[in-house]
Amino acid sequence: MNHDLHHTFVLALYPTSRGYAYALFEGPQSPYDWGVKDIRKKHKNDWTLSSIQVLIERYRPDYLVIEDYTEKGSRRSSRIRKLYRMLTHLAETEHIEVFRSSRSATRACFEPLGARTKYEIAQVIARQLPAFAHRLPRLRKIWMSEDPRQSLFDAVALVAVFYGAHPRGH
Amino acid sequence: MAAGTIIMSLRVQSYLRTERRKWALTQKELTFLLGRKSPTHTSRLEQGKRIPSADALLACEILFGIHPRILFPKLYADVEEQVLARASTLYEQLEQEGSLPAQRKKEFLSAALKRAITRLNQPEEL
Repeated sequence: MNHDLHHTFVLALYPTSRGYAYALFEGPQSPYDWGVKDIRKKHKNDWTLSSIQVLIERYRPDYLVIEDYTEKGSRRSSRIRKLYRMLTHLAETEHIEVFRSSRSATRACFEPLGARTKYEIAQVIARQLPAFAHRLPRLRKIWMSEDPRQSLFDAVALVAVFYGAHPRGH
Repeated sequence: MAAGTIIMSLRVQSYLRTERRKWALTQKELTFLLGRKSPTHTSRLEQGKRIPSADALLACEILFGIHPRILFPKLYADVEEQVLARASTLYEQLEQEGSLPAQRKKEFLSAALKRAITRLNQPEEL
């Protein structure tokens, strides 16, 4: 594909144990739609996939951005790894280019801004994109489970890596 | 724009949902601000399933500070296409006429067509 990235839709997905977060961008500074979907049903992957399929049909994105689960040190569960494989297959059938962003690429992207942890990255995103500022979760204490809103910032971080990595997303 | 750049894209029906969510507004709150009763109305506007009324268009511009051409790009493009088709039909009808009013009308129509061509050649970014 040879698209001008300012006129393409980039959909980033970040599955979690409780559903998934998505962020759809039209340009590096132009979020179009975003959200966190809660999926608490049996056969979670099937429900997640059909929910994502609805998103894809609605927006027809040009690029799908997901975490590179094949990277050494990736700590995603086997269910989510399977979901990523299903998503890749879905993208292929829908002729959507897939961009995989590794955790190390995300760290490298945000380290110059002084953000190392997921929460610090979320803070940087909230500062740079005020549309997300009101969704910033509270700082997580060691005994707390992760706030579902954090996954939204993880999805946006994937988009940031996509736009930073390569103008054409390869 | 407070939160970055909006680029007109004809794949997009409306930026109303994006703008509403940027400002943490619920559909219910926007419905209230637009002076309507049912959030379904706002939902349909956001999805492009309903054409906004003139007062809704103006209310959106007042609230978000964005021109309706940018907030509802698809609607604007559709209306523009129809109006320009009618303008060129009228221009063709006037072409044989040499009277002063006809010349004035042709000036008006060609100015409108020129403006549209300029807009098409320069994608809008705010």
